[in-house]
Amino acid sequence: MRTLNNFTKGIIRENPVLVLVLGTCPTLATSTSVINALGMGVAATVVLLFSNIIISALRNVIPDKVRIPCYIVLIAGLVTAVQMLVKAYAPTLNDSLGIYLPLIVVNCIILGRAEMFASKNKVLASALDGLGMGVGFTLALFLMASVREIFGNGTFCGLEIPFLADNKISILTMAPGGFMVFGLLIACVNRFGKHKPKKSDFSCEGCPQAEVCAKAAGRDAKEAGKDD
Amino acid sequence: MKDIIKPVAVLAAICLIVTAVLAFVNELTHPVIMKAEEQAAASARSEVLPDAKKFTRLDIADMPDGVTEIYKGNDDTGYVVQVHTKGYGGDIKIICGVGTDGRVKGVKTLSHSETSGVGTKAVDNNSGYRDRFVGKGKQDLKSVDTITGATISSTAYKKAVGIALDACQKAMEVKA
Amino acid sequence: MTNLIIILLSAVFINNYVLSKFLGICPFLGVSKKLGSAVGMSLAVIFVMLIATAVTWPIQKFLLDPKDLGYLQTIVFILVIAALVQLVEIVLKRYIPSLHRSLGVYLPLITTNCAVLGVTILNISENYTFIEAMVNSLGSGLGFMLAMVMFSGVRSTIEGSDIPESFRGLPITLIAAAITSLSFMGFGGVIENLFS
Repeated sequence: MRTLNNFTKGIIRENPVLVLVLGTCPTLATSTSVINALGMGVAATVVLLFSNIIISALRNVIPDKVRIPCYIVLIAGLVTAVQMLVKAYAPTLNDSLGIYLPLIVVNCIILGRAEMFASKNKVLASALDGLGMGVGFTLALFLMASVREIFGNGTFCGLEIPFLADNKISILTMAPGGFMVFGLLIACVNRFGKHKPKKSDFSCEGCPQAEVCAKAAGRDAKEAGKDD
Repeated sequence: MKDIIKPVAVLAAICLIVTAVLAFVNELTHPVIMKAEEQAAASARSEVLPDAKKFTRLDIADMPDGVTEIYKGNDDTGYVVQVHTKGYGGDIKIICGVGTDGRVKGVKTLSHSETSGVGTKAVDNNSGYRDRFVGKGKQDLKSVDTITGATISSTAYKKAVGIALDACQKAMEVKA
Repeated sequence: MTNLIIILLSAVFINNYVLSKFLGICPFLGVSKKLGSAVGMSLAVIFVMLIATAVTWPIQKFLLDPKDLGYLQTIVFILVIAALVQLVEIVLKRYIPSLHRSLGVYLPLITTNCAVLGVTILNISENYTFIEAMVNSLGSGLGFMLAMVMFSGVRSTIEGSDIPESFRGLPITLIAAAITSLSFMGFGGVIENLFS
């Protein structure tokens, strides 16, 4: 039962995008259409699944000092492999995802899960964790893309929707619409989710770099104090 | 000493293994990628020059700047030229079919990185801008207006079509 | 020359990395609360973008391309950027400690910043010459800075306002980002018409 929990927690309770707020860049950029969003979601899920498995299997081999570079090399290798496969078998998807496909390397969900879960847990648990997080990421992307495509372009998966196709809110498919829909979705999660909205302004708890970030922000606070 | 050697060795080993695996995947996918690209190029060629059934690639020296490839259709149906020019966000790649009368048969954008909603008014294949060139010769090109709000993109597009027409002119001269 | 100016201006205003390409959103949301840290972070980003481009562009053109190793691009670039960031940090600490004090904390954040990797990859895929690539990196960095600085101003206004409970925190920040991004779209026509 606990093993299964590793899988399900990523889908809703610890959804990487809507609750942990990780991987915002690809979420905003590739959610202009449902097909793109699903393509991105599946590509990232595959990378996440395999990176979690490999890193978990190697967790006793990789020395602590060089673990981050090792993770990055492994993840970059996986991303490149996925990129080649997409280019070979789904060239149109490669064209529409463009730069965001190689940029899966720096998607903080993947490095974050490697650092926080795969490096400390057994292979099976890590695989389930990766799969769950991947599905959660894909679902969040799908949700965003549905809103943006249905209302912004009047279509769903490229199929035209009567009435809405004649009354498009084009701004939703453009850059500002991405921020707007994402903000509204997170507000909905805050409103209807079990979680009370967090007190802090921007939560970094899931991000592998939270510590460094906090240091940067903390230094500011110190300096502000000096000025007073 | 061991503290230094082990991390370096592991990192190097991981780099090597990952590179080897990638080389292997590349071996597998490279032919498929080439074939898919060739197929896409072939279907783009027949779209801009529908009359032609077969294309042969021409090798002509001193092509105008920006021309990457030029093909000749069978039985004097015309030429297909692949051109790239600098747009707003980077290269705009188009493919242009030209009849033997020196008039445009069809144009298609292959790739571009113009701003969505601005430059795409010119370069997007669904924007209708490309249809304005059909039937135009080199001297009629001036009469094709640029698009307000997408001046740089549409000028680059027009320039690319102009280059394609020049290239065909040249190809016909070489043949004659 | 006009070509370079167009690349620079469109990288700053039109294809702004944060507000229209969605690259570097994490630092945009995470480090933009105070004007000081927003400027510090952006300066570090500009710095690393320029150095990264100066190093990765020759690597791609003179090392990877001739040997048909283009597929190693992602892996080589990210390693080079990571190593560069480390190196820059060491050099700064040793020789220009004052600059290290102001930028040092932000440097580790940049290794996995998608804007930096993004700009190096785009410079190659857009077929830019070395000079064009450097100008594009400078423009992208400046665009990042402009977005960060503007947004930190917007955020300080939000801090003092009464916001509905569900919108507190991230949601209202994102809505503010949407409006900032909307205001950037206005630049589109301005720059277009400067050069026509």
